[in-house]
Amino acid sequence: MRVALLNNPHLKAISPWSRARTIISTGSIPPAAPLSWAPAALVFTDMTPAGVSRAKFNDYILHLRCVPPIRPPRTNAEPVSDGPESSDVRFFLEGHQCSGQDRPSSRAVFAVGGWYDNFVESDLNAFTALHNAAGKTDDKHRIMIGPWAHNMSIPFSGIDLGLDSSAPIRAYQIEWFDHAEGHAGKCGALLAGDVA
Amino acid sequence: MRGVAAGDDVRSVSESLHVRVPSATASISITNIFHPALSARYPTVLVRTPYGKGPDLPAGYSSFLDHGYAVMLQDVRGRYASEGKFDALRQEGPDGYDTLNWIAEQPWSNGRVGLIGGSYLGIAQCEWHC
Repeated sequence: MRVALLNNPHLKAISPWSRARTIISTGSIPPAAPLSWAPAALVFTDMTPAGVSRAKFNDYILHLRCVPPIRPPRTNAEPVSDGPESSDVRFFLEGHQCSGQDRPSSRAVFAVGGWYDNFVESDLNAFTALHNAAGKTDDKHRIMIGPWAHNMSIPFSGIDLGLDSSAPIRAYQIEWFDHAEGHAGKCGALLAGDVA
Repeated sequence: MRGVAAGDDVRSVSESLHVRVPSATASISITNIFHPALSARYPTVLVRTPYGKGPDLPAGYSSFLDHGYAVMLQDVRGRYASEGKFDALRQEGPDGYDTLNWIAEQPWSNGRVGLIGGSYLGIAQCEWHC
């Protein structure tokens, strides 16, 4: 009997970012057809999640195309807003949340998310579940949430997210994997706690 | 085999393109593998993507090789060069699990694997159920 991916003994660390179930049901997609957040691909292949009306889903997807990110950049003084998502859309965004109870693995996790990414809530929830599953004294996990959207490499035209809207992810990943692999090396910003 | 610049150094890299990696579902995932060209065993950074692994080592991944990691990029089932029918996300737990075991059996692998990737690739890392 096979067990979950994260329980594979060869898996030592993961580094996901933008952790959320973006696609819940499948359509028939040609192997080399574009597959991304392309709204048309999601709409026309009918990836509407169960429990969400097709019209509501399509409206939401098209909304993403028109005004990403949903959450505009905030100043420090502004309170956190829940954003304009409807309950149906929230169901879509959180359609695959972690409960922690079915997450027996404690693989090292370095997660990255963006404050202006529509999926930041599920990033945080997934990370919390993984961290709790590993035990509160476990030091295996890190998360970095920064002032960027879904992909920090792709800026939005006309939207300036500030000087800090990118990070040396590759360097952090190497530091993280070295840590998980047990390589000797200097303690960089990630492990020193400067990135949290 | 070819050279990858690492600062002032140029290191040799072994590359194996379009390698067929089987899974228990009888599907074949086509994979590109890169590792330092030495007779040693390396930890592996695995990228499983539905967006196309590309024909070669993508920019930015050579830094893993410079730090003594193998890099493996795989088209997930039903996408680009890989065979089978694409079953978004649901397939990634079982296929990913089988790929991990396949890596551990390779002569260049030390049996330790890390996963990276964003968006769909990040979700797939967390697909715990087979």
